[in-house]
Amino acid sequence: MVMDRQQADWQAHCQGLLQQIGCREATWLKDWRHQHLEQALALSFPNRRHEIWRYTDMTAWRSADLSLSLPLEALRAYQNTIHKETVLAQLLKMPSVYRAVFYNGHLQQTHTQDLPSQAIISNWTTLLQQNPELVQDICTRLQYKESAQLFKSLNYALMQDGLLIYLPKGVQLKQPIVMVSLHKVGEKSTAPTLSCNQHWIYLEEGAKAVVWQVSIGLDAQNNIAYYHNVATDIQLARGAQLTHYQLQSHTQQAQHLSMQRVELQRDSQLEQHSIALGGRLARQEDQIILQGEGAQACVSGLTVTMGCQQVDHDLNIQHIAPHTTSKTTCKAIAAQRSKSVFKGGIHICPHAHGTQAHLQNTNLLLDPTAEINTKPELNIENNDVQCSHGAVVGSVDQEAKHYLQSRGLSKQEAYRLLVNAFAKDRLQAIHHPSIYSVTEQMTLDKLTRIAELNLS
Amino acid sequence: MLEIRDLTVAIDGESTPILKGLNLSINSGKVHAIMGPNGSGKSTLSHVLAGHTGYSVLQGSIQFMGQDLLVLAPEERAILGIFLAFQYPVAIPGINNMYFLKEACNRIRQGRHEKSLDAVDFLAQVRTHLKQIGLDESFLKRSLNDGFSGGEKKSNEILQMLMLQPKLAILDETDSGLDIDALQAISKVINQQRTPQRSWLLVTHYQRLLSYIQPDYVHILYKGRIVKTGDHNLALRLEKEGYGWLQAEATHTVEGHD
Repeated sequence: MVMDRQQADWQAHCQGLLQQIGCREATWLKDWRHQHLEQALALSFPNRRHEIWRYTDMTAWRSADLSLSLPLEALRAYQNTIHKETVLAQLLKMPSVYRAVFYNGHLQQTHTQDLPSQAIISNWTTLLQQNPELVQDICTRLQYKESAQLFKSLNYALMQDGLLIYLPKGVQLKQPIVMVSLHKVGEKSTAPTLSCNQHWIYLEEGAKAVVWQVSIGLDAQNNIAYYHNVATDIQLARGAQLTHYQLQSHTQQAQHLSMQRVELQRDSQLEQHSIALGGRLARQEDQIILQGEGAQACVSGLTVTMGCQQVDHDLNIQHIAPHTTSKTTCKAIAAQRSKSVFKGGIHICPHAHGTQAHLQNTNLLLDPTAEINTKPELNIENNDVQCSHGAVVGSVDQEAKHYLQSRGLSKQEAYRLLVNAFAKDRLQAIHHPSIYSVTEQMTLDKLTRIAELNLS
Repeated sequence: MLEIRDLTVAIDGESTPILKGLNLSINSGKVHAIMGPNGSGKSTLSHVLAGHTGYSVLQGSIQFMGQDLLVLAPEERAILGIFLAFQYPVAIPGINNMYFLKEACNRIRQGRHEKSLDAVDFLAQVRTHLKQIGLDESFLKRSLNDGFSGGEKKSNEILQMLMLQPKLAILDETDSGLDIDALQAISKVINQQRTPQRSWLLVTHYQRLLSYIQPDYVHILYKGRIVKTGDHNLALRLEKEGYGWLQAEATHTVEGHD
């Protein structure tokens, strides 16, 4: 009975959220939203008896009294507060980049000077005015791709805005595309807001791009949560190359859910770097589908948690075509009562002969009260493959700490250096200098906070 | 300078001692060599002096420069002037060798109330020392001991020693892993560093090191005690005869006590 009541409340609540969305939308889009909301509500809410949710409690998403972030409020708040945040100065002034900045889920500004003709970097609410057929076409293609998943269906139903990056055949961008997503709870608001974004990154044959997706929570002192649900659909056509950097530094109250799906055609390459620092509960679900022969994916990840944070990285790589390659190196550092969950699923389909798949997950547990769950899963349906996987959980190496101390470094410094050293190779894997610099600074800031805890 | 009295030490959590009432005093400017068969307690002594937490001192005392060494943390000992060149230096990927060297150098200088080295002075000193040891400058750009050969690790320890300027340098089997050229280069550096203010404790298995670095004293550590002290000739005898004769002599001594 209790469950039914919760489910009924949840359904009513979601329907309420959908009503907050502008009623002037085209009929097809309205239908699209309603259809996905129905789909979402037909699915049972995740609970920890389901294997994939075993370590993750999503009930905050159901119990919170959410309202959707509004475009006008977002604009005002952006203008009022953005320039006070010095930490962002470097990010927002980064030279020689294409840029799109979202505030609470709504696009605020783009900088796309000198973009090659026929390439598109634009948000889809603008595109809906200029080229509604394109948006409709993309949406229609999206919905048949995969089986229904509650939070993704919810994202489809409530999506507010998002970026389309489209590179025509052979276009290779020299500058990176920086997508910044800023989040802040309204000055007077007492209830949490939800923003839903959907981004599309489509690279045609031989196209090449570097995309940096950054999510940042402002006003870390505010105790009110905000919710961010973001879905990203990525298509790499034959021979296309995408380097995808991701950095999330949400506030310690934020709920962040990122679902990403990448399809790689023949000889295309994905290089992905995910650095996750923030969120009360931050979950990243990656689906990487190596669809064409010779496609390659290289995944690097680093999560750092403290306090009562939980960060999940749920990675699924499917090798469908022959001679596909994946290499995954993910690390996590967990301090205090925080929790880190890693799932590295690799599925090698029957036809994927000549495949190479390697996965390594290394974890540093800093306190006995912290928790790390790691689950590498290999499912191999072809004999002609090279695969390896491994997972390690350890604490700070006492021999190394003693060695550093014997050279005059204090216990705290030795600890700090060793924790930083653990993270170092994941940061150094970031090859773009400005992206590296901002990511390193934010990561080291967090690691310093952790080291200071150890000092007290 | 160093005064070890009746030192009895076991591995943390174990009751059987490895060092069993060891006595040793080292005066300023002297070079002491400690030899002994495997398992006699040589490395335990080095580690206890450097403040490794994996050992418990059951009995005895260590005074260094008039201070009770056993109550000090490893970093405090380093500042006071103790340096251990590790037998197995720890490799730490992700810590840059040069960065670490500079941090260590300036922490110790601050602790000794000396002025920190700025980047220019630091680099000048490091370059001089690298040349002395015969190392390339690219050595500094690598991660601390990570992927280093045995010889490179030992050379790196000596580089650290040169930068940190200790009062007591303990070299724990620094000669093993070094080829003859490197051994000669390092011995030469050590001889240059012999001053009336600096003392040395060389832990070694081989006489060869001692033919390059003439010790003032050679001690034989056997079953947790120093059973014999002599000069360089003692090392030569060990080279020739091994440790077998000690067994007989030790048994004899014990019988004599009875």
